[in-house]
Amino acid sequence: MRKGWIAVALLAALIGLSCCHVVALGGLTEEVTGLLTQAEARAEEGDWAGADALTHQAARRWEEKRFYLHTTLDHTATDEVDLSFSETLELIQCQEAGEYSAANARLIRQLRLLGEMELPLPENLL
Amino acid sequence: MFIALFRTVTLYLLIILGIRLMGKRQVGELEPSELVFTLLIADLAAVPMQDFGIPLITGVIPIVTLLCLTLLISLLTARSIRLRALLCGVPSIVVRDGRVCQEAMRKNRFTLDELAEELRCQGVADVEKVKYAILETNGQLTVLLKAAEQPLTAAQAGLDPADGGLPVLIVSDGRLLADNLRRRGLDGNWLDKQLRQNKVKSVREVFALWVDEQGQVSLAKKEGRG
Repeated sequence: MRKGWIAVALLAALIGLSCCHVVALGGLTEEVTGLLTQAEARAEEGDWAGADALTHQAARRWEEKRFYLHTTLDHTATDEVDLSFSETLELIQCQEAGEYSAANARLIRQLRLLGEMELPLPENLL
Repeated sequence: MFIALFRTVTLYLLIILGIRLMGKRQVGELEPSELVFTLLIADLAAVPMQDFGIPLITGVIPIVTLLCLTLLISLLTARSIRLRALLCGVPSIVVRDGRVCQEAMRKNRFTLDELAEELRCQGVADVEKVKYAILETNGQLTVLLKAAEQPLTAAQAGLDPADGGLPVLIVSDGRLLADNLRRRGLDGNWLDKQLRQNKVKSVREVFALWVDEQGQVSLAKKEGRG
């Protein structure tokens, strides 16, 4: 029966880790999208330096978790977010308001989808 | 991660149900849960192995989950007769007193051709000679002949033949298995004597040397390479 308890403990650990992952990823995407939303508000006010600083901060937060994200998520999804960050930062440099707004909205949506992808919602489970 | 875990559990249980519904013939020598594990594990391991864009953990989680579930199911079925019957099924008698049980055959989707083939494989040509033929949960057919059709045993003939016991390999392909020699209570002198008796100079010339519990020796010399 000892083996049975080991199996139960392993399953419980997997469930626990999965829940931690859902919470951690949700927290990270919320934090990063929050920074990006603030950056967009700054850009709309014409404060491009502030928008640049906030977007860089968001990119750094994302980059800090690179190992964790690459070992738990599909690489295609994380690579797309990396590319979107580069694009958004470039558009801030060019101060292209319309294109920046579109790119930033896409980036925020990508991050939210990434967070939602791991949620134990019926649509994901099925 | 959570999605992978949930989907693994769901699909595992679903496939076990599918295998159970397919009947005993599909199972082979494994129990349904073991068969499902075998079917799934290779595929699960292959996906992250080939696609580097998929994290290793997405392959590891389903495999660990399957291992745990298979272990739990085998432990639970060992303890609960009801669960064992539900997951592994129960043996079915398909021939009783030389008569084919049609209802059991139908339930197990076991055809007459398959029954005849299984009987022939076990050296039985006539179903009339069979007392019981039982389709086991692992898909194999156990055939018990009627008393009058069973081969005569030494005990029935009133004989008491010597029981050789388990033969042990002492020399394997020119190499002495010293542990086996010791375990049988023999030594180097005994081995030298055997080699001399068989006109062999060295252990290296012996392909196989067996000795049973009665000390009966069987020696095969190495053949010259052609």
